[in-house]
Amino acid sequence: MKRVLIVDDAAFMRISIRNILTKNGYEIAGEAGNGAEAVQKYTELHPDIVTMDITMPEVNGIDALKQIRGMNKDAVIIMVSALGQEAMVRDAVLAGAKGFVVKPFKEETIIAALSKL
Amino acid sequence: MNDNDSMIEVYVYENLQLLEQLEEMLLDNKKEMSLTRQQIDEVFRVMHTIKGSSAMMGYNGLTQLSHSVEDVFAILRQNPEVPKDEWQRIFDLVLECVDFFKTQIAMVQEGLLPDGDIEELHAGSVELLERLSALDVSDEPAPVTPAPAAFTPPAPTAPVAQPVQPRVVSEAPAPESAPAPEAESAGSHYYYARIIFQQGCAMESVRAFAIVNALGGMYSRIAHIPEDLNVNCDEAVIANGFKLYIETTLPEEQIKETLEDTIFLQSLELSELSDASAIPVPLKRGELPIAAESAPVKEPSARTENPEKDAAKAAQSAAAGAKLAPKPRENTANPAAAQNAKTSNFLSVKIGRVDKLMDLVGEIVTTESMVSRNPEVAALHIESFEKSTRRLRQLTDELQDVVMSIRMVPIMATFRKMQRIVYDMSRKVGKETELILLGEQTEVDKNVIEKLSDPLMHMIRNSMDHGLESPEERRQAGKPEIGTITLEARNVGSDVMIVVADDGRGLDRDAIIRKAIEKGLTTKPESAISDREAFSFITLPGFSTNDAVTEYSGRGVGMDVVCTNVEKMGGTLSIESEKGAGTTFTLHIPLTLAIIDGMEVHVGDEHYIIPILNIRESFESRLYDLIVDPNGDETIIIRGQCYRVLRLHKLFGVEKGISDFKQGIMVLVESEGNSACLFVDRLAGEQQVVIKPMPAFIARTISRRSYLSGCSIMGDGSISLILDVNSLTRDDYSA
Repeated sequence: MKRVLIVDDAAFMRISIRNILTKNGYEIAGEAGNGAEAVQKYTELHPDIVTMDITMPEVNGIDALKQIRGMNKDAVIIMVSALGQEAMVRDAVLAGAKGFVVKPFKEETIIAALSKL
Repeated sequence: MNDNDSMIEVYVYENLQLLEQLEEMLLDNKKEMSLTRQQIDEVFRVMHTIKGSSAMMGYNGLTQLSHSVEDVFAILRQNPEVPKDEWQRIFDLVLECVDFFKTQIAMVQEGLLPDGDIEELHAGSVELLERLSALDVSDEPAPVTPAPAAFTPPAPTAPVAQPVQPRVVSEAPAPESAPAPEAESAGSHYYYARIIFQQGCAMESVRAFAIVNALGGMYSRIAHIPEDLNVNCDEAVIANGFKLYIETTLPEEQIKETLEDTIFLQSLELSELSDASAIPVPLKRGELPIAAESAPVKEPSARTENPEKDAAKAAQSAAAGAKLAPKPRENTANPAAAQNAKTSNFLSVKIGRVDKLMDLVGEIVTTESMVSRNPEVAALHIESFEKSTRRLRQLTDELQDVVMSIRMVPIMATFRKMQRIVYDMSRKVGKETELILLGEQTEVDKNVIEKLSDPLMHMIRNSMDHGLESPEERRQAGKPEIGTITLEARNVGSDVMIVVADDGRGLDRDAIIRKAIEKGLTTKPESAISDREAFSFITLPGFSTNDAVTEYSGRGVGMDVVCTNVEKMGGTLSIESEKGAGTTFTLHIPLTLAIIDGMEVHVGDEHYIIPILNIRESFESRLYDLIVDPNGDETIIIRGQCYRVLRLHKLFGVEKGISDFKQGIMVLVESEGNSACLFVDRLAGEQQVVIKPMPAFIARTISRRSYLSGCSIMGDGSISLILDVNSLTRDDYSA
């Protein structure tokens, strides 16, 4: 069972993703509310996959992605973005994000994305 | 509760909280009438979050509106230097949106679809965006696209040259070692690939961009249609698919594998071309921003060696690429972020559950005393039983304290709401006003807080509207032009005291008295009416009329409603005022409406509870002499002070009560500075009682209902009436 770290500053999004993933046989390794927490939890929990929001306080998703990939260049990180964030998603792709989903997404969308990883 | 219900709950809770924070932040900054970079980021994030969750819930209007406000703040993030009057518009827009979102979210909470009309706000936001974009262009020397920043493609990234070659070499040695880039290299294959993404996966152009990035190092030259993937070409990719032409020495299988890894891949056509001549667009190499950007990230060694430089570079690339303001990384920088990190230590519980818990604790308190005071068991005098019941009592006390403390919330949120009212009103009535908040941390029971909001709002509005003078008048009176309203909360015993004070024109005592006499609200001669009494006339129903608004500074408007609400909570309202100097409203509200410490007293067959906090002392009546005046009013003198005697048996018409003064007990009670001696048969002991509202049928049958604040079920199952000491001592009545 793949273990996922969910990173999003909005509890609503964390819970949405958590519900979808647990229903589809993923294990939730942990959750983080900002980029700094994400980096810390990544080192603690060693998840298989990270779902990473972009706009977050303190350390944003792109910086967290870079920090995590800096520690582990094989880290599998998928960005959770919103329409209008094309520029930042390009940045994330360049920084090594394995893919991205765009809010609002359906259950099958995020599962389709994760199953490719 | 199914998933959807719980998601609605989270949606409502989280977004309301964000909106509260947002509103508070704006009001805190109303003086400066601008926001710092961090605060702009914060508004942006709030809108972004609302947009995201609203989109997930399918609330299109809210998604669209939050998106347009987000766009406004995206522009501000680039250029926070806007003129003051624009800031005013921005503040107005955001506050109006906050209000709108709140009403819509309230609809969601009710189980309705938030289908409010966003047209006006959306148009306002778009207009603002256009104006700010225009400003942006004129202010910013660099040729930055003024369109909604959210859709702005990244400017070609700066540090292209250096890292490109080494990286590509290291990752794809075969093609790179091949010379003559422009010529067809020996051993090269040419592939054509057409990729179609799954319908609705969104951001197709970025997905195409990602494919090119994924192929990085696997080709010597590349071309694609659409050619420029840094701009939005989603439509073209959806319509025609993403077409790729690759020159490489690698076998087809390897290219295919990489392409097939693409997320949301609907179909992939891959074929080998005989030569480069079949390629309709020129093949390129080294021009893609890809290599430049990803270099520092893909080289962890460089990162660890010089992390600071790297961080700076990352920030720089973020700023250049996404036009994102560099974010501070220190923990101290952003209080909201710090708070966010802390939130995981909190648990939010539905108030209904805490209410239920509170009810249960109330029942336990009652049952505990039923058991421990059971007369049959008590007659046995079992020591171990008494010991256990004492312990049980301690524990129920503690349990009750804990439950109470869960329900206690700082009054801050309610106070902050008033800030908004002052902000809105000061502009409407043209009186600049400063609202000073004191004691925001004072904690009050959640139920009390909810009921407090309306009366406070009313009083503040009154103060703004009628209490404070116009700037002109204030200047003439030698006062500072800016009026001041002070809102203060403080704990006083088991009450919370709330003061609303303004430095306005004050109440016109004489005019109020004249009006009261005219309306038949009093029969006393003017000279016998105290200030306090005079001001309290304005809280009487019927005092407030339209002409009162102009004639008596209108303080009567709605004050009877305020007073009734406060009294419903078991609280009191008193008014002090000095003409020309201002008016002070003081509320005393019990911290909690549920449980009090009481002294049970007996009068004939009846049992009453006197709140312990009101009792100053109790003594045998025979120790003092009773003085009866010609009207039949009774008083006693204690340590030189004269107190009225109130005989409860007379007051409540209890027939069997002791009437011989020498045989009874006196309880000296005090409330709000008024005191009196209550004459009772005997004291039965101290105990905690759970206050229950008086059932309507009891309320109707008991005389002097207003002297009772409620009733309580006692340990033995009997009912005691709880005395309202405040009204007992305040009223000028004859028993």
